[in-house]
Amino acid sequence: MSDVYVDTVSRLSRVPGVRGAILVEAAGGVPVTAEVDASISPRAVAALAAALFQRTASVSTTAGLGRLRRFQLETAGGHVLMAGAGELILVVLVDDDGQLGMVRLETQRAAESLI
Amino acid sequence: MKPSEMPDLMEALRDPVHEFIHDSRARIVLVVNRSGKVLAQHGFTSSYEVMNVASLAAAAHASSQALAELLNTRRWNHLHHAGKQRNMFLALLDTPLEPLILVVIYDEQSSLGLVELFFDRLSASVAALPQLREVRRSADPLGFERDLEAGLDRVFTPDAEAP
Amino acid sequence: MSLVNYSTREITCKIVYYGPGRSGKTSNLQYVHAFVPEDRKGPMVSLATETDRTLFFDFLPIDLGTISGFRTRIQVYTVPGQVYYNATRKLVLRGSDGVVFVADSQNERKEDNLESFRNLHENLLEEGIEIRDFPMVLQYNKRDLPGALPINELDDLLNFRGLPAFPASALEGAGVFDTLKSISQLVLQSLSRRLRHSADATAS
Repeated sequence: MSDVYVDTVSRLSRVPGVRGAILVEAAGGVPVTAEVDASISPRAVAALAAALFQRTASVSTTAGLGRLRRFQLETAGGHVLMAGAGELILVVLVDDDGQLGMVRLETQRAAESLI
Repeated sequence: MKPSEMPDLMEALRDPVHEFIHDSRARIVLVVNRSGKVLAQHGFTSSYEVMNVASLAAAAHASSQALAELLNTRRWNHLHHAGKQRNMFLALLDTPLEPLILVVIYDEQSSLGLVELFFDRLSASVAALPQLREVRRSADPLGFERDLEAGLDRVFTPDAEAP
Repeated sequence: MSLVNYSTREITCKIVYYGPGRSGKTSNLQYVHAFVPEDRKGPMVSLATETDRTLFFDFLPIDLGTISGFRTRIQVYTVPGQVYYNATRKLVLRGSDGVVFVADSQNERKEDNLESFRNLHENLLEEGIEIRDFPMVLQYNKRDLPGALPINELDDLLNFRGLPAFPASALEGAGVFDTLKSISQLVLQSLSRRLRHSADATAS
């Protein structure tokens, strides 16, 4: 396991308001590494998030707006951020009271560091 | 399993398998028993293709299971073959009557993660199926014999045999 | 064990061609594949070595049409004959509904025939198959070769149960269809008996 991946996910999951982070291999929709609550299945989240990201990515390219960079879901309990990083996708789960702006920035930085 | 037990198992599998196909976005799904006979299929264009894939999938499962035992692993969770455009996922589905083999062919519309995820859900719903009751049907012996002779003659006629 | 699918009205049976290496099992299948009508057969699958000897199995699906309202298909398999492929033979034999034992009629293959026949019975027993009720036919292949033993000697060697036995020359096709027709009949009649038996059991 590459330390870079583990460290990146670890660092992200410690940002205030972040409930968990998963690094996903985009094509297979399988987790590379994850730090999440025990009640959450990283495999399930990884598979569904990757499928959603891929589908949405084609909207962006079809619309002539280039590569999809980030995708954000607003949910009853908070937010789900997804950021593309080459062949990987960073998925970050954010609490309702988390500082969304800060988390978005950190997620973006993390994604760029992985490319 | 007795032949008469099969219908209920196949009927019971129909909805969970359809749900799996819908959720996973698989292109082709095949359910076979370990000797290569087909219980359910979706997405094939020819019945011979189904039978060939069925026999090969059963063989693939059988040989990989034999390997698992040699390697002191009780069994593999699944087999996965990655192709350029299409991929294959093969796993054992434990049913109340006998283990069945699920073969899934998927392309870029799906992913290994999705197939695995919905396979887990399929496994859980199949494992929760109630004890299946036996159904017995009647057969018409004279009609059967007549049809059997006719069927065999059609396929194995002397004309067809002469080179 | 035959598969009867009441919802799709299909019956599938599995027939296995067994016998020592190079006795002509694959030749039987190749001949069948070449001469069965187009709409009654599927493509033949052959898992073979570079020298064309069966490695795992050959497989040929055949459609017998509708029998008593059921679309009836037979799946015909061969096994690799060499002694060291026993594990594979066991896997292929699993769930079979009938066997054709293809013996090589030549005198020098007597021991090989016996060994393979013994091996078949061992494997059937291990599979939990009741041999007395199990559909089986014998084929005495390579009748055209000069060293071929007389039929009655082959019967003495192998046919203590009085099974249907067919002389054959598989490469030319002689006896091939007779053999397959016979085993198909036995398998389907056996299935019909079992289904009728279950139906009677319900009625009583």
